[in-house]
Amino acid sequence: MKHKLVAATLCAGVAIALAGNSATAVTKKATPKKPAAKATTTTAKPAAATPAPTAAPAAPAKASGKKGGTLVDVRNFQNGDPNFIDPGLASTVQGSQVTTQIYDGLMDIDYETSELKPAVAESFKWNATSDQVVFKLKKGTKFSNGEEVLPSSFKCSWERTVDPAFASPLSYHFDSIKGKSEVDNGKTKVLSGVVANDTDLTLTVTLTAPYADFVPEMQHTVFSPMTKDGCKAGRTYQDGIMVGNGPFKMEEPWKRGQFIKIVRYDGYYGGVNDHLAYLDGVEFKIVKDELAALNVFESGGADVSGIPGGKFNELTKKYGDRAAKSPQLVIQYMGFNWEDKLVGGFANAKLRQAISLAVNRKQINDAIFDGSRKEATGFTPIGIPGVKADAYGLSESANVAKAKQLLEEWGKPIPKIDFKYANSPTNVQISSIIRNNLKDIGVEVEFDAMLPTTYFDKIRENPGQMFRAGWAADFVGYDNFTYPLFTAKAVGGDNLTRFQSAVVDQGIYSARKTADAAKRNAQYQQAEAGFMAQAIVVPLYWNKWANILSPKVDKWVQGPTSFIDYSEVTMK
Amino acid sequence: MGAYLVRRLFHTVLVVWGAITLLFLLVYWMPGDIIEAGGGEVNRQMTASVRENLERLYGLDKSMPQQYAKALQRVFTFDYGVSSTERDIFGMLKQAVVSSGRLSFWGLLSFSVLGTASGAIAAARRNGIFDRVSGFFSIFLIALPPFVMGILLQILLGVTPFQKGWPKWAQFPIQWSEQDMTWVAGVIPTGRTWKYLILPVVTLACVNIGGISRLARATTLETLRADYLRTAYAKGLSRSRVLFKHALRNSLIPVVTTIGTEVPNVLGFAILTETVWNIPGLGGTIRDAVFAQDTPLLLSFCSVVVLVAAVSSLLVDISYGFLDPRVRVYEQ
Repeated sequence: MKHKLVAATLCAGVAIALAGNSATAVTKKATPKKPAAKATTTTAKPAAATPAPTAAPAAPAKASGKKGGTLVDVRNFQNGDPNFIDPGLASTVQGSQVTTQIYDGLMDIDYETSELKPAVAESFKWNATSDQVVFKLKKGTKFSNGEEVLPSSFKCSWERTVDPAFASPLSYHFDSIKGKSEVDNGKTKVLSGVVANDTDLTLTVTLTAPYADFVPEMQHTVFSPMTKDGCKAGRTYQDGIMVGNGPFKMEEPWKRGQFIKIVRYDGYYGGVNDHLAYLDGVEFKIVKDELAALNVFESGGADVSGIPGGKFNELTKKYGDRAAKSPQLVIQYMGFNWEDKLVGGFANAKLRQAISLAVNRKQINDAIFDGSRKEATGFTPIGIPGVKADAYGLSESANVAKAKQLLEEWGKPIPKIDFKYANSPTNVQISSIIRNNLKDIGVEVEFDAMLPTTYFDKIRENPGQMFRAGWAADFVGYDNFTYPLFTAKAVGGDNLTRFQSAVVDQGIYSARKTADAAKRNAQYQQAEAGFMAQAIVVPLYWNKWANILSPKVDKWVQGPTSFIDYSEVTMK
Repeated sequence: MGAYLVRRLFHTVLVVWGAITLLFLLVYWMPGDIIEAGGGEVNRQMTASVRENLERLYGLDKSMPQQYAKALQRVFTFDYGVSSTERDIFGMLKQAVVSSGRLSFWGLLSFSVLGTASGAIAAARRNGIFDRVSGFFSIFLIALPPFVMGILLQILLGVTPFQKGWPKWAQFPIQWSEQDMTWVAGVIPTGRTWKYLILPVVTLACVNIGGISRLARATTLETLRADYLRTAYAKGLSRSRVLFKHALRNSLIPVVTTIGTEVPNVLGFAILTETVWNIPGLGGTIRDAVFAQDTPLLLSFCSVVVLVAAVSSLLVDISYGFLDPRVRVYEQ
């Protein structure tokens, strides 16, 4: 379904939220300054910037930004209401943007460094086989209604989400936890793999198989804790005032089609940056059309707006320093069917490599996106710890001579290749450029433009020979870009290329067993080198997105997973 | 009259049933479903257990006849249930009918009065400056989609005044804001509400004003050539008396018919108007429901639109009788 989001995004010409920095804002770099938290057998808590281990300070110490002001955001909901903002249900970036401000989970990333840090957790500890992790929680963190956040707050929230009657579209996130299948089968409502001990503040999670990136996955809002009342609430909980433990709280219910308002929670424990939110509040205006949203901003009705499709150059030039641009953890690519006799398998690697080299990524970026994307020279986006984007012999422009040489070495008659894509204006443009690029090396392409709504279901059944797809991260972790896409186990699922390589599989599974983050990421990168060497995918570009800010916004901070950290935002 | 109304009421029920059936089938046969369109996770392939849970929740595990029966039951018992995003549809409907009702009322009133008046005046001053200017603007407005008109108005009267630092009274808000709007008798704006209302109303009215104006001009011209009007002039009646007392009333029949049949069109165009101006009305919600393939929401809202169309058609038929006793259909 991640693919589906990307297709829908392209169809609508709508950028999913990512933001950046203004002249005075923090410059957002997805590349971490420090390695991600070391998930070793000891605490993962970095030395700096973590809250006091024993108690939630009443007034967190590091609040140095200017306090005050209500930021009006017309960026997040420029295409109407989200479907959900409940942490157990919110499946879109837009809806989750609100959820992240109201709830804090066990782990979070520092949006300025992409560094994984404990949030409500004080530390975590893996067992030797990386299939059981014990989180130790900070003492004294509280929900905005005064109720203490305890291990059982997490356990009951997770069990609410996986309950079949709750029908959460996100419940698959818990598939790696022991006991989830029994809950799915209706045998029990208890996740046996999750043990909460409120006395010593530990939450023990046992997994069905080693999976060390489970800890980074704790950034996802679906793993948020809930109050006792929240745990009992059904799918309409979001219609009232949801009570959370994040830097902001709700004081009035979501007004559909109009706004969602949140205000600073003054009892907040400080989060990964150890301070309260600077803003008094945030008003998310809900607008149904992105041009209308831009007009609201330009008529002084909002402090931040997104940039509608086709207006990137015009508006970034017009707003100069107040146009905030930054990368997104999204890859757009072209894939080959590994099982196809003509283009698949180890024997046809040189054909695929030739095609990958013949594609002019810069031309696509400049002609279609005004240069607003980043040409992809690897698969996993820059910003995921451990990535080596330039290690795979690809360049931004085409290398026709090398491509022709590879075709000669391949030595078979040059085929006509079937190319499937979801029929959207952007995809039509991309496909046309690729067809012209491939003509330069003598490869003919036959288009198969397919209905966007059912495209990925069809591709899962039959990817043809060559197809278009995209993939967006939902947490900062290398596993996100390898395991679901390139392992044999995922064929028929999100492994659309149907790629199968024992070496790559072994690398990914080995990484999953490795608790040390640096070593683990190196193993994932080696696995990526394995499938990139086979050129089973042709990376095209990594997404970027941009927002424009009013002069009232002083500091603007956004995370690599398409979220704004409003607790760090300040106004003049 | 009573028997006629009963007969028309029966026809209305049939029309609603036919429309609901057609819409149900269209949505049912549309590729994808409510789960894929909006209820699913955006990041990964939906696992079998997630899919099963959602199918149960939305009733997609039932057979097509069972789903159809449920849809009919919901519409005809007014027990609409909840949307795919867990919203009480009846509550949504109440809010939407009020918002769309206000917009449509003012839109309809504006284009009916202004369109008819400008058409009649243009006919009375045939080939004069007013006739030529109104003819030009009528064609221009017919050609301009409401979406474009809305965005243009936002830029001209919302963005530009703000950026040029014009006085506050010259700056128009460009987003409908329910909480800042107050009304008397449900439809008469008070305080600053008119500032929120006027541009959406202009957007909606502009779509129809040109057509109504051209029609009113044509029918008035035709009436003005009638023998009985020549007689009226021969009797020495003034031009304005002939025009407003004798000509206009008789030339109104096709105009009223068109205005009546425009009611559903107004709701249709309101989809675009409500989207641009962010009005939580029927049109905007129907648009959202289509994209979400939210069958319960779509059928509930469409049934109301069909009902409005049928009732307006009935009112048009009845109004004929008052305008021209020769066509009192209910006395036939």
